[in-house]
Amino acid sequence: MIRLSSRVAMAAFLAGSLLRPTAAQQLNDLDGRVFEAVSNRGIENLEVKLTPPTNSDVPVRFASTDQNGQFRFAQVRQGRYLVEVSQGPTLLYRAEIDTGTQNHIKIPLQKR
Amino acid sequence: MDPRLVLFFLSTLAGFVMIAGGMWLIYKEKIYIDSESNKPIEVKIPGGFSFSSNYPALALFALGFFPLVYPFHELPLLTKYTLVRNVKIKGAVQSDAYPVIAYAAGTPYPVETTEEGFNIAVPVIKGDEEYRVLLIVNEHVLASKTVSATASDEIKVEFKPLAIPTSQYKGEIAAVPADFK
Repeated sequence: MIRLSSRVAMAAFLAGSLLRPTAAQQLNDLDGRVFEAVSNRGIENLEVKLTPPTNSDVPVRFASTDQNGQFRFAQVRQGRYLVEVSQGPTLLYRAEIDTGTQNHIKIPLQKR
Repeated sequence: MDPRLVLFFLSTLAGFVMIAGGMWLIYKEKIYIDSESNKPIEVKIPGGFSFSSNYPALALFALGFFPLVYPFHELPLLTKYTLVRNVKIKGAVQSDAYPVIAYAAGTPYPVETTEEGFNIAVPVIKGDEEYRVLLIVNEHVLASKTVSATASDEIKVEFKPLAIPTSQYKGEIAAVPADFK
């Protein structure tokens, strides 16, 4: 009897936690643009990496910039992420963002 | 404390007891083979020679010599043969790209190359003596080589020069927050 009631309670808890919309489970699109700071020209073919905190179960996601320097991550769970822009093995940019308050990133790069 | 030290101590102790006991038995002639006479066996050999033997005691003496000496031979090698405990690193990978290659490094941290190169200490595990050496820049594997352990204490590995094109752009690179490491 005790085992049955504990199973029912656990099922109710799981159902409640799955159905209840929490802030961490809200999904938003995240887009951005990588551009030359001086000319405002978009930079294409850069790799953009979106990394959640280590203890998160959210996957690491990758995107590439198009010819206008734009990139987009669809259906990103709200939270803190690390955004990294690389060209091959060279890291060009790194910043932390919170997709709860920001769904667009502007990434200016300088020419060397 | 290394548990092998306890075994070595027990081995030495057993050897000492066997040798000391054997000597004592030889001295006292306490081990008898001939149960009727309770005397050591007298052996006659051609030529009129004869000798009496108490060979169980002699055997005890001889056999005790090995466990007594063996730990002294092995003690200097203890540091060379470090204790190895095999564990399995298991993990699930969810990825759109397959296969994903998983490597587990033997060192607790990556070793940065210097002008002299790199120097990584790795354990030699019998039956699994191959190592994959990866050169990684910003999480990109630029080169890799498989090397095998030899009798030598060093494994030489040579890589071709890496010509990495310098990006014409640079931006702000923030430090990685602690919870992202």
